[in-house]
Formats: sequence, structure tokens, C-alpha cells
Amino acid sequence: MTTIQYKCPNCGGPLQWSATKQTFACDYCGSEFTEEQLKIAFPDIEGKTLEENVEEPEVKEFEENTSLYRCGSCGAEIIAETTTAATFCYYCHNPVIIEGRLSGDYKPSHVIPFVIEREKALTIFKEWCSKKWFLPNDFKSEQQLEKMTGVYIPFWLADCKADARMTAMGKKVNTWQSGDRIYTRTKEYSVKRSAIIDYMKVPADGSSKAENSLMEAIEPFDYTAMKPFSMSYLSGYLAEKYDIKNIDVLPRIKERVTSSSESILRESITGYSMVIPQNKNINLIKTTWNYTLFPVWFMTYKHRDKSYYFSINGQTGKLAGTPPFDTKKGVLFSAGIGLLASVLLGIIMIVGGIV
Amino acid sequence: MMMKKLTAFISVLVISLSLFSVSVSAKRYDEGKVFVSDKESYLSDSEFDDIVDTAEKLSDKTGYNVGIIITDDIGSKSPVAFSDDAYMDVFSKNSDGFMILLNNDTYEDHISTAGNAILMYSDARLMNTLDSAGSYLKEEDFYSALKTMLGKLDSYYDAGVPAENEGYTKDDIENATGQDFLGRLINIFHKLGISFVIFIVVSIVTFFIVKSSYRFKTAESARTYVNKSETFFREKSDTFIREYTTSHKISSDSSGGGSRGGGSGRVGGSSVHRSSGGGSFGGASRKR
Repeated sequence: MTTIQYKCPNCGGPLQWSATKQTFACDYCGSEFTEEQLKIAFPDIEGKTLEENVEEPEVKEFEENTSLYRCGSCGAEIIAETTTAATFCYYCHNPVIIEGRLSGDYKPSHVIPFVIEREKALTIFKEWCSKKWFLPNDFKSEQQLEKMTGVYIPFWLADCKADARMTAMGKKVNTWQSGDRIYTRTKEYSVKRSAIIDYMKVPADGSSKAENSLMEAIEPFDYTAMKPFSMSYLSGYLAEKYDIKNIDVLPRIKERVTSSSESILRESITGYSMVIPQNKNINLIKTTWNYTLFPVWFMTYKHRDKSYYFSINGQTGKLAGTPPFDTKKGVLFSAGIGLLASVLLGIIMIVGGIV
Repeated sequence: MMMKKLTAFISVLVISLSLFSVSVSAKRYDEGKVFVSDKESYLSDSEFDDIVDTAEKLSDKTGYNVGIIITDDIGSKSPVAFSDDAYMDVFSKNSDGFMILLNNDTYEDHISTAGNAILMYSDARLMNTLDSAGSYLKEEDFYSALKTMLGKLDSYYDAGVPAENEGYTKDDIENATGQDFLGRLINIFHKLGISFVIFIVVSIVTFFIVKSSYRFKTAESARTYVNKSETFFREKSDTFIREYTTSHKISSDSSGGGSRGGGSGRVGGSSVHRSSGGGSFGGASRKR
């Protein structure tokens, strides 16, 4: 299998996607190119089909999930997983796009290019850490931060309609006093709600390597910046192709849409002192799919044999993850607050003349 | 012509204002050991004068300060606190006497007692006094209520200190509210215990709040992806089914010896507490 490298038409150096400039830049001669200019410069690369590009693995004994590729710059052999679509050469560190991985059925219709570059992602992460008082001291070490990786993650986007129905009992309760008695009047209503709720581009990641909750937590992505897919955007980042089919992410989509639709119906029931839901039925209809790559920065942190995963939306900078908690710091802080509260109480009691 | 109209208008205005001011003018008497305040004029002039006269006679006989307040507004204070504080404001801290509060704000009437009046008027006597006026208070016949209460307090004075309070002195009251050294020490240890409990509780709660803030934040709701222009309700119906009414009787609670915050205890048959101003008081409350 061959690899692709977008080389600078001016000096032949490797081109990378610049998140800040939103162009393709050459680090060697400083040239910048738009996507259209690259398409003209590399007419043979764009638009190839899977059949045209797929070649037999070079080494048969490799395990099922790995393949061997040759770097177009230095000729070194690169080992990559079968789902990897873009990576770096281990030796010359030039970006490598593995040809054919994102073509045919695996060719995304759209891509959201990285807007947050590595330095910015690191700043976001450091700022987030600075607000967390109870992180272990070694958490923010440069060694850990070096492990931050920018990856294009495959996402399925579902357009669908939810046929949502709900019945409930609504109660209006009035209370008043007359003489030495308190009266309570209750009026009961049968409440019915039915709606067609249209959802556009509900995302679900199609990569088994990406933690689903972590991916959902960095949503939303700004779809207005979505561009028709071009492999050139992958240059300089890692990229994955999907290994979970759209039919397999449907339950996740349905769960999210059902929960959201329920809350919409529930919020439309107003004016009651109490609402008791009785029946609800939510069905998805007319589901259509789009396959897209979204930009995500990843970091894994290992603390006392436990791994902590973080992700940053490569477009908006939204960060998600479970930070490690330094119990010793937490106990000291809590005891301090407790002490302060008890001292304040003591002062109030003494000043108030209670003691 | 114009001048005549203006004069007539001003005259009507002055008369109206004077009539209005008469109808809502607060009644207040504050002489020597007697204080009577009727801010909203629940009592007629003659009734007010009669109550003042009765209070004067009782004060002369007992040597006690006699305070009476009828009010619609006790602010954010409890009846006990309002009554205690009013006594402290009107009379001196360590004096003997009582303050009757007829509370038309929260409808819980209260009698605060201070000094020797705490010993004279035990909880049982105060409750009887409040109960004897209960029917009048419910009907808002404050004149009859006060006459009955003052009469009752007068007769209890004639009967002397109740048996259960015999042998006690003002010092015992101060001790019971934590004024002596030992009492203060016990109280300090008591408060230290409270402080320790507060320390433990606040520490544990803080720890769990801090730890929970390190949990994973929930995912973005799918509502972000709702296309409002293509979303519509097919049915929105609210159909009336039935209506029913239930009722229950309001319980009439009575309580003796209200205590708030400070040291509290008992002296014979009288429960005592300390007010925020530092005075020792006895007392009893009754809801209407």
C-alpha cells in the first residue's frame, strides 16, 4: 500500500494544515496554499477510489489489525493500524496520509478542519488545570503534555425526525383557610402531547478507540465550518476511519434523541402544580446519515495505575475529561473549610452573647 | 370664584386628612413603669385609657414593669424575640416585670417575664393567663383579652410565688441561663461540642462537593440539534377530568418558655432563656 505526502510545489518540503491560518503551509519555505490550489497542484491524488489505491500488504505475517507502509520522504517503513488514515513517519516526522484508507465507502462526505492548533490546545489544557486545585502536582508536567495528539475522528451524523407522544395527568392544587380549617381543592386534567421533532446532524463517533462519553462531552461542533472532504486537511494530524457502522451507532443516537424529545414534550406541559407522566412513545423516522471527520485533541494521563482520558474539541476548544483527584489535598482543604466554619460559629456565639 | 373653590378644596382636604389621621393614629403610653402601645388603634380611646389605668394599678401593686404591645408587624423576629427585645428597649435589663405581646402578624401571642416576675409567673400560670383570654383573642376583642389577662396576673400575684418556684432567686435564673462561671464553662463546652460537630459535618460535606466536581461532566443534550423550523406539535390537549376538595382542622399549639439560641434552662416551674440582647427572660406563647 502506498502513502501520500503533499509536498510544497515551491521547495518540495512537506505541507501541513495550519489551524490558525486555515491554509496549507510549508515549514521550510513558508509558502501557503489554499485547498483549491492544492487540487490543481495534485490532480492525481484527490478523488481516487478505494479500488484504485488498495494494494496488498507488503508483509503477510503482520497481524490482522496492523499494516506496513513506506514513508514517501525518507523511505522508512511505518507500522500503522488498519483504521489509521493519517499519521507521522517515526523517523523523519513528516506527515503521512495512507492512500485508500479514506476512499470508497470510507470516504467522508465532509470534514471540519482543525482550528485549535497544538500550542492553543496546550494553553487551554493548562488553563483548565490551573483552575483545578486538587490535581496531583506532577499532573501538569511537560512530559505529560507532550502526549497530546491531534486526531481526525470519524463521526456519523444522523438527520432524523422523532415522532414523540406523551400522556400525563396534570393536577392544579389550590389551598385556602376558612375558620379553623384548611381546604385543598384539586383539579385533575388528562394531558396529551404529540409532536414531530426534527433533528439535524446528531453526531455519534464511529471509532471504537474513542470513548463515546468523551466525544459527546466536547460537542457541539460548528457545522457552518464544515467543508467537503479533502485528504489534504489530514496532513499534519492523525486520522482514523470508522470501524463502527452507522447501524451500530443508531442505539446511541436513539437514546439521545429520545431523552431530548421527552424533555421537550415535558416542558410543553405548563400551568400545573404537579404532572404525573403516564405513557410515552418516541420513534425515529426518516433517518439519513452523513459520514464526517471531526478534529479532536487527545491526551491520556496515567496516575497510580489508572488512566485518565481528556479530549479537546479541535474546533471550539471545549475540553472534557475526568481529572485525577488528590485525596490528600482534598482532605486538607475540606478540614480547613470545616475549621473556618466552626471558628466563625464560635465568634458569632461569643459576639452574640450566646456563650 | 377661583379663590372660593380653592379654599373649599383645601378645607375638605384638611378635614379629610385630620379625620384620617384620627382613625389611624397610633396610641401609645409610656410613663414610669407602664408601657402600652396600640399602633393600629385596635382599642378605642376609652378602652386604651382603661387598660393603661389597670396596668398602672397592677404596676403600683407589684412593683413590676408592665408592658403591652398590640401590633400587626413583628418584622422577621419570632414573637419571643420581639417581646423580649421590646421589654429590653422599654425597660432596663435586670428589672422585674413582663411584656404582653398581642401579635396580629403571625397570630402567636406571647408574654415575656423578667427578673422576679419569672419566679412569680411560672409556665403554668402564664399558659393559664393566655388560655383565659384565648376566646377573646380569636375574636380580636383585645380589650376584653387584656382585661382578663391583667386580672389573671393580678390574682396570681395575690396568690404569691408558686410552690415550685419557692426558694429560687434571681441568681438562679442567671445561672440557669449560663451567667455564672460554672454555667458559662458548661456552656462553652456545650458550644465547643456544637463547633466540633459543625467542623466534622462541614468538612465531610465540603470533601464530597469538591470530589463530585471532579466527576465527568454530562454529555451535551441532543436538543442542540433540534431544527426548530421543522418541529411542530400535532396535539396539545388538556382535558378536565374531575375536581375534589379535602379539608383538615388547624391544630392549636400552645408552648411554654420559648427559647432561642442562647442559654436556656428551668428555674422551678419557670423555663428561662437568654435574649440576643443578653437579658434573661421567662415566658409563654399561644397560637390563636
